[in-house]
Formats: sequence, C-alpha cells, structure tokens
Amino acid sequence: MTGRQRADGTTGDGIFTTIVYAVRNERGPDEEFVLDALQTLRSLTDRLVVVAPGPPRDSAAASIADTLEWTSEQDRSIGSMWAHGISAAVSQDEGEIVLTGDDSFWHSGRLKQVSERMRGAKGDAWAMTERLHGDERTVGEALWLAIRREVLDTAAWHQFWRSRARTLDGGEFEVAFDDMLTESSASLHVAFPRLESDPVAPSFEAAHVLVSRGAPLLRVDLFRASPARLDRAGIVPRWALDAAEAASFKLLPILRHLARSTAPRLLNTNGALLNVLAVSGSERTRDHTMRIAVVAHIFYEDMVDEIVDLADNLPGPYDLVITTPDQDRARTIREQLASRTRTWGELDVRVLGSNNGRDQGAFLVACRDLIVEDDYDLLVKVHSKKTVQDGFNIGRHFKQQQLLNLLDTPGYVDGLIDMFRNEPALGLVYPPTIHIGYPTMGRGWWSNKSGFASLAAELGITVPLDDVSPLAPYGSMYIARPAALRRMVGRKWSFADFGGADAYQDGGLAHILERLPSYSAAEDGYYTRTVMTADYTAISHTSFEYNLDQLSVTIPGGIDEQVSLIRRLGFFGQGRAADVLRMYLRSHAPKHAHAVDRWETRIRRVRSRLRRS
Amino acid sequence: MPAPDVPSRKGLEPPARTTFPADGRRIVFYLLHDAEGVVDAFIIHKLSSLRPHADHIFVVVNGTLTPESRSSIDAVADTVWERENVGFDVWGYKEALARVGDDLEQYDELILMNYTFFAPVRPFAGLFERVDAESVDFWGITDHASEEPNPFTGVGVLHRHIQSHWIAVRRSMFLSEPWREYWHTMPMITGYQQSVLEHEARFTHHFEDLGFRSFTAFPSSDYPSGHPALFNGDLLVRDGCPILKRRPLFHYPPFLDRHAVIGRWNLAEVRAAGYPLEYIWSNLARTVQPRLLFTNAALLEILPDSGLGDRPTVDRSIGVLLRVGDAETARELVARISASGVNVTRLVIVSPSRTETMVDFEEALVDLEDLLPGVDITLKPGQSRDDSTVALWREMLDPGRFTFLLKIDATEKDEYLRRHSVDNLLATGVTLASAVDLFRREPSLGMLVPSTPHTSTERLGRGWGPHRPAVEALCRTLDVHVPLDDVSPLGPFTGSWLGRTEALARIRTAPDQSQLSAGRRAREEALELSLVYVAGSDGYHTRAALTPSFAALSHTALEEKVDQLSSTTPGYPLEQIQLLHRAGWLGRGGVAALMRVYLRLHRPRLARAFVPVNNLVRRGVYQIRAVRHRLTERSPVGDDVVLEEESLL
Repeated sequence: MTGRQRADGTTGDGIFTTIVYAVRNERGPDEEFVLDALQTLRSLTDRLVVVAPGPPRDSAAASIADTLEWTSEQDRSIGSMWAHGISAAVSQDEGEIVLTGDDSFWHSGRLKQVSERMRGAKGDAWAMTERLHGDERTVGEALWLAIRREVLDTAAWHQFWRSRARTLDGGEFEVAFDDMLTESSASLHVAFPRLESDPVAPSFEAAHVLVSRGAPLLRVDLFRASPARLDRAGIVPRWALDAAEAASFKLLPILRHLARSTAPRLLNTNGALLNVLAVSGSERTRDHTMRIAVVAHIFYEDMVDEIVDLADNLPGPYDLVITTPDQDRARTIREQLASRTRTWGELDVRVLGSNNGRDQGAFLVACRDLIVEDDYDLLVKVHSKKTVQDGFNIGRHFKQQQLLNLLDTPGYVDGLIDMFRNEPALGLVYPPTIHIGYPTMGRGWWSNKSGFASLAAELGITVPLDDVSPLAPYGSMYIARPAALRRMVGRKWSFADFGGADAYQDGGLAHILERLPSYSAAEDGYYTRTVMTADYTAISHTSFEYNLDQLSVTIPGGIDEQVSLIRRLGFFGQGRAADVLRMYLRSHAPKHAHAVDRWETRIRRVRSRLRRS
Repeated sequence: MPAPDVPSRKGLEPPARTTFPADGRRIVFYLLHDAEGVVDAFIIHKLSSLRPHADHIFVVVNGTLTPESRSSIDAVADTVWERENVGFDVWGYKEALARVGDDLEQYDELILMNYTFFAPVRPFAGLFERVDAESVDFWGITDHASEEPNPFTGVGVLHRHIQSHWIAVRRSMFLSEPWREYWHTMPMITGYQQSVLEHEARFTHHFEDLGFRSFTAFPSSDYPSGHPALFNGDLLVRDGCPILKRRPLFHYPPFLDRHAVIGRWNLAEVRAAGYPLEYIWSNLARTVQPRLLFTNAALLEILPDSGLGDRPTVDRSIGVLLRVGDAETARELVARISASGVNVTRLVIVSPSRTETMVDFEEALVDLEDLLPGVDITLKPGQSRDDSTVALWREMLDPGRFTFLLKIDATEKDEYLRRHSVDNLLATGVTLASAVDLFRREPSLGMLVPSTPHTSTERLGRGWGPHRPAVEALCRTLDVHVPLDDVSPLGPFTGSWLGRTEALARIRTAPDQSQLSAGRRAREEALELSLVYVAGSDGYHTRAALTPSFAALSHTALEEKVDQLSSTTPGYPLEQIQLLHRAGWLGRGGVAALMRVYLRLHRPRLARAFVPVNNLVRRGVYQIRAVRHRLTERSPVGDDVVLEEESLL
C-alpha cells in the first residue's frame, strides 16, 4: 500500500482517502450492524465520515469515525446526506472517495476483497452494483459509489453536489449521478455487473444470486418491501438470507436489526420465518443442555395429564411451574402429579388466590421472577385451554393447534429446541395465527391497536406495528427466552390490573397483552419464528389455499393489484348503497368519503326520529 | 302405471313391540345411486360385512349399473333391482317395499339404508348387539337435533329426527296400518329439499307421535353438536359407531373451516380404527372435485429435503422424463435421482434449447451412465417445446414398462417457478425417495404434484386459465366423469409430476394432441391438467407436495395474502367468500363495477335483467381472447379485467 499525505498532514494507508457513510436507519448510528460496518470501513480508508440524522448526541460511532456529522432529522434523502458529508469533509487533495451507508448490510471480508480487486481496475469511478434504467441504460446503484480524483476535479461534480443532488433519493439520484459522470466524461465500472440473464435490479430482485457471485452486500429494504409486490415478482428475500448465511455474512447483527426495525408480521412474511419441522419421530435425536421450565397455568384440572404428557416430550428433566387460582385446585393437581412417574426436576405449584388475567396474569404477575432472572434458558408457556364458549370442535382445534405445534413428539421438540440453540437472536417460537374456526385473518388487531400503541410506548417499544394483523401468539402458548420477554414486565403488573370483565373485552388488557410478546422481544433485538408440524401444515395450508382461491376469483389482476384494489376500496360492509358510495369515494375522491358517513348518520337519525314519532 | 303399494294391514292388529329375537330375521334395503352406474369397492365391502347380520339384502338402484358393477354387486346381494331414477331415495324405498310386499312378514326387522356413508368403520356386530336388546319399534344410528326455525323453510320446527341413511324398523311397526298409510300417501319427490321435508325430517316425529318408540344408537344429545354425523365424525368412530358419512369429505370447505371440522384428523381416527382408507379415496376420487377432496382431507404432503429420510428400497421401475434448459441442470437433476436410490429403468432428457447441438449436449452429459449405471438413456436436445414432450410422456405412461413416471420440467424462466417445479419432488434424492415411498404406502394414490404455485403467478383464483373447455372436451372423449373443479383445479401446473402409470394410462387413448384446438403449449397444459381427472375416474386420487422450505415460503405468503384480501369484508371466511361471490366481478372498482356490485347484492332482479347484455358482451370478449390466445399462445389470464369491466351498465 502506498502512503499518502492527508489533508491534516498525517499519512494514511487506506485504499480510499475518504468514505462517507450515511446512516438512514430509524435506530441511528449505534445499531450493531452499523458499528460493524464502520469498523470494516475504518480499515479501508484514511478518513471515515459518518452522517446521521438528528440532533447531536453521544454515539459509539463517534469513536470509530473521524467525523460524525448530524443532519436535519427530516431530510434523509441519500443525496442530501452524502452532500452533507462531502461538504463537511472532502478536501481538494482526495485520491478516491466512497459514498455508502447503512442501506445495505456489508460482509466485512468480501468488502475488503472487492475493494482490493477494484483498486487495480480502470475507470474514473466504480459502483458495487448496477441496475437497468429504461431499456438500454444501466446506472450504478446508490449503495456504494467510489469516485476517483479525475472526477472530483470536474465542474460537473461540484455543480452536482451544490444543486441537484441534495433533493434526490433512490432511483432519481442514481440517474442524476450517472448523468453527472457522463457530463464529466468519466467512465463507470461495476464490481458486480448485471448480466444479461439478470432481472432489472439484481441487488433487489436476485439478491441471493448476487451474493452467490461474491457480492458483499444485502439490501435492507428487501425485507421491508410490500409482500404483495415481492410475491408478484417472484422475489424471495428468504433466499437472500439463506445465501448470506451460506456466504458467512455476520447474521446476528443483521437479524437483530431487522427484528428491531421491521414490523414483526412483515418480517415473518418476507423472511418466511416459519419452520415446518418435518421430523416427527418419537426417538430423541440428541441430548440437550438447555435449562427449561414449563410454566403451565391450570384452571381445568382435568387437563393436567394431557399437558404433562406433552411436556414430557421435552429433552431431559425440565422444571415444572404450575399456577392455579386456588388451594382446592392445587391439591387436585398435586394428587394427579403424585400418581405420575416423575419426569420433571423441580415442581413448584403456585397458588394465585386470583384468576384475574387467567394465564396472562398468572405468568406476568406470579411468574415474574422466572422472566426477570436468568435461571432458565427457555420458558415453555402453556395453559389448560378449553375455549368452551366457541363450541367443541373449534375449542379443541384451537387447543391442539397450540399444544401440538409446540410439543408434538420428542423428535419434533428436539428440532424446535435446536432452533433456539442455533439462533441466538431467536426470542420466541409459536404456531402461526389461528384461522380455522375463527375470523382472525384480515383483522388480527380487532380494536386493540390504539391500546396496544399506548402500552408499547409506555414500555419503550418503538418497533413498527403491523398494518392489518399483528404477529402474535393468539392463544398465548409459546416457547421463549426469558430475556426476550423481560420488557413486558418492565411495568410491574398486579392482578388488580386484570380485574373485572373489562380486561377480557376486545380492547381490554388481556387482549392487548396477548399481542405484545413479539413486539416487546423485537425491541430488544429478538425475532420470532412461527412453527408447525407437517400434519398441521397440511391442514392449515390447504385451508388457506382454498380460501384464497375462492376469495380472489372476483378480484382482477395479480396479488399486488388485488390487494391494492381491496385496500383502496376499503370496508365493504354489506355492499349497500352507502357502502358502495363510500367505496367509490374512497378510491376516487378520498376527501369526500367522510361526507358519506356524516350523511348516513343524519339519515339514520331522521329515520329513527320518524319511526319514534 | 300407478306404483305398487305397500300391502294394506287394515283391521289387523300389529305385532307387539319386542327386542330383536336371537334367531330373528333381518332384511336390508340398500339404496344406491351413481351417475356413472358404478358400484365402488366400499359398497361391496359394506354389504359383505352386513351379510352376517342380514338374511336378505335388497339393493335398489336408482338408475342403471354397468355390467361389471352389476355382477360385482350381484355377488353380495340377494336382490338387485335397477329402477328408473325418479322420486329420489324415498320412492326407491317405497317401491322396493311394495315389491317385497307380503313377504316382509317373514322378517323381524327391516333396514332402510343408503350409500352415503362408509362402513363398517367399527364392527357392525357391536352396534347390532347393543340395539338388538332394545325393545323398540324403530331405530337409527345417528340423529339430527331439533332446530327452530326449520332451516329449510325458515318457519316452524325441524323436529329431532333419525337420519335417513340408516333407519331400522321392527315388525311391530312395519306390519302396522300407519306404516302402510305413510308410504301410501308419500307424494312424488322431485327435489332434495322435498325428500328431506317429506321423509327424513318427518319420519321420526310422525311415528313417535303415533306412539311408536324409537332408539338412536349414537344420539346427538350425547355429542357437542346437533349434527354429529357431520360435525363429530371422529367422536362417533371413537365411540364405536360403524359409519362415517361421505358428506364431511365433500362439503364446501369454507363451511367445514367455519366449524373446525378437520377431515384429516377424522380420517386418522378412521385409519386407526382399522378401516382401509382406500375404500374412501377410490370413491371420492371418482365423484368429488379433486381440489375439494384435496382440501377437506388436507392431502398435502411435506416431503423432506434433507437428512437421510427413510430411503426405502423401491424395486418397482420408474421412467424419468426430464425437460431441462441446459446440460448442467440435467446433470444436477440426474445426480439427485441417482442419490434417491429409486429403481430408474429409463431416462429421457429433453431440452428445448437450440443453442446446444446434439454433440455438445451428449458430450456434456457423458458421465450420466456412471450416475445411473445400466439405465436406458436417451437425449433429445433442441426439441421444440411441446408436442414432442407430450408424445414422450404419453408413450411412457405404459404400465407394462414402468410402475411410475416422473416428469420434471426445469425450463421455466422464472426462478421461483422453476425451483417450485423441481424442488417439491426432487430437491434432493431424499425428496424423491419419500415421494415414491408414499405411493407404496398409499395404493390408491395416482398422482403427486408440486403444490399449486401462487407466487410469481396468478394461479389461485384462476387456475383453469383458458384450459377448462379443452379439459372438459378431453374428459368427455375419455369417458371421464369426475366433476371439474369450480375455481381452480388441482393439477401439475408447473409441468412436473410423479404418477402411477396404471392410474394415468387412459390418457394414452386420447386423440392425437394435434387435434386439440389450442396452441401447442396450451395443449400440453390442458393434457396435464386432465391427468388428475383421468386418475380420479379410475379411483386414484391426487396429492400435492411441498418441502419444508417451500412450505415456509408458501404458508407465510398465503397468510399474508388472505390477511390482506379479507381485511375489508366482514365475518368468517365463509361469509366473506359468499359476499364477494354474490357481489361478482370487482373490475377496477369504478362506477360501473360498483353499481353492479350494489345491484347484484341488493337488487338482484334488476341485475339479472342486465345478464343477457352482459353475456353478449362477454361472449364477444371471449372470442377476441380466444383468437388472441391462438395468435400469441400466451395465457390471457389476468388481462381479462379491463374488457369485462365495461361490459355492464
């Protein structure tokens, strides 16, 4: 490496003189993946300039970067942030500068390799990736742009940053940047050029292919994109994750960031974070050293055997913590357990003196210690679920859907525990949203969203909330790391909080807390996976498939168009005149849609008055 | 000609009510109807199992039987009477009773029974032992609780009634005047609802009111629903009930979904009880829409894509037809097949790619013989896409040469669809080995297809594409009468499938594909879609497969799609679907479309007035599309939107 005189008089030996790194993620510069990237870049450049939005504050990034610039919180366009970094730090005697940022996760080793490789390449500038713009033109993507001295001296370069660049983002920026290069007669090379067989934008549409070709990046926006759009185009972010894992990207910070910054159901969909554990053998495959407590709230004593039979599928002795409302039940439960061959380690029967909050109250109030302390690696939260009010079939199916998808057989449970062993940022595992026998799809929040938002704010949860339905353990059975649940008990719950029938109404505390675990865990960087047996997958999948076939037969277009039409029209009601008028207005003149509501109320009022008189 | 009547008993005292005597004689009237005149194996099995309990089995056929069916049922019945299909089951019984006439006096009990259930799921003996000891006038297996208002009429009471699939009557009742009167005054039945109202829902209450005493072996009062035969099939089986109704397996899936009737669990119970499920599959495969059966029985198989799997030694021979884009893919797929350990005896590799010459292709694949030693291998590069492949697989569906045929199409340009097509049968050798093993375990499995793809394609909601008329025509030619699926069929949409040659061989008698009036690509798709129906016609059912990886992709995507699409309509999926179907085509959600929605939902008569206009426009649109389709050979699915939008109002 050749030493070079830096502006401040010191000699640098980096490949680049300056790297400007824009922090655009909502969580700021202290996300682990950002700090990791900065460490890597540090070794590649003489000067590292970080630009982050928001008022100046303490940040770990400051100790890695030479300069940490804070910009206006509102303006996060890539042009504006890079312009800021350039004007703050780039001087006359630059060799080669790089514009990049946290729009991608970067693979440290690969980034170094490709920087070395491109060092010898010709050209006045180089981009990591490119995309097709229009039919014939390709432009470098605003993920990593390296610019050499030849360009830095041109008028077009200076003009570009002084004027246009500041307002541009994304694709517009890329085209304008490319225009600027043309204007300054600069040639652009691409480290991972788009091949003829590639889609328009390989970094987005075929990320896994690009990674398998050695590319050092994984775009963050891939995991946040509209699932309908991805689906229509056959883009599978899950494959990008798999490819990244195979290429030994450092996955943990990536997953932690995705958990913290992506609405959980969206991440579950885009990442296909569902495990169908096809191992169903009754043979135990290996020993486990996980410390596990089964926390069972038992209201219906006749379910003790059923629950403990299933808990016995856990590897090795587990501790059994049973909560029950009163002494009578506790006595019956102890008697039943006494007649069983002991398979558990410690037994702890906790009498609550209250059934307020049912399994939720029992867990959050009476088992707070298990969540707060680190005595266990995993808590298995189950309860004696009967759902008597919904009828036999529906109640039984719900119970089986919960219990079997968590504890089906020893082989199955082994597979499930393995997931926790292999994935340190995996916080919770539970079955997918119940939909057979329940009208949950399309309205998983019911009327709990606003109450949920306030409780989330109180607990310091800023994870984005899902749009239509939350990702939640409906039915309240799950397996979790205590650390992933800790934030939920940041507030000290008491049975009184759950008092009265209100807590069980839609919008009440019990329903809000039922939806909380994945969001609470996500705030602390733990993601959720859903899990199913092969048997239940067949049941759930065929039902969905049939219903989707039937639901979509009268809605034109591909799934993206179907969803957008349905969402644009809004609530269908029973398709009465007012409903239809509202749908029309919502999609064609949204401003006036509320007028229909007002008129409808007025007409109804007049009608009822007439009827009364 | 007036129908013969049940003999008069006027003036005669009926015998006293008793238990069924130890040496009692029993006659079974078994009513049978099949659109094709076929008697399925389950019926033969059922009647021969009844034999020890029946002195006379009188089969009433509403319609005619094929000669083979006639001779097979003759072997297990004492009388087989084929009558004109009029008056539904009710008139079948009425006329059969009249035919037996005074001879009925020889019997202590008669049973009116029909073909709408499988049995004996649990032994008949247990049932008869129990009911024989009851001193009653009539009895049944299951009943339906009373309901108010009557769901059929909207008014009055639907009384508790023993269900008509099995009503047994002792001589104290069938030798009585009210019995004669009941049948004598029975009006001609012209509809399903009328048969329920005039007979099934009336019988029990009518005779109980007259003082006759009834007994129900598995009464609804013992079960958590008013209609256990539909809702609690598994509980009935567990309690020893010998029958399993067909209905829960062919009823509208969203209804069963609404009530959490889990067909797969019920069938597991039936299998555990020892009843061979082949009897069920072979009947339903022939008579029920394949996707309906697929859904109700949850016939989705999760095949492993890693690990050792079971690696069964399947010695039956398999023909393999691979359609690949390049030699590299071919070698990869052959390596997987080789690793599966299945007994491949012939391999044909077709490649539509024109860039590779025969020599290049052969050179690139020179090591195939090492991978599959002793296998007859043929390479056909540069084949035009379609007819040649169709001819190949049709020729290879020869039960004399292969037990199974594996066809893998890896030529789809879209990566998702290509991988979906290949991996769900052949992700690794283990996947294929498990798939073949499934055929060994399920003798009535005819075909295994990758689960219907719904990513990167618009299959769900319009799975027929333009092919329904062609499949309909093919089925007619091949004498295949399996009902075609309403919305989307269950088929090998990606061009990959594993089939039992014996189940599919009938497709070889189809007319030369060039006579089908579609484009070449469309011809192959239509032929492949018809395979499921061809198999069904011979009693072989179809299942779909997913590896765990594709199941994760597919299920999370389905969850999201259903969540989004059902976010604006009220109620359960059942109600949402019904509302959307009644509302009709949504078009682009413009004025015309929304007006039509309103009219269809709330002014149906007015909406109907527009139907002729609509149909005329539609026919025009269809013609245009058909022409365009022939010209471009592209599926027009998805762009029919704009045209239909303006077609009304």
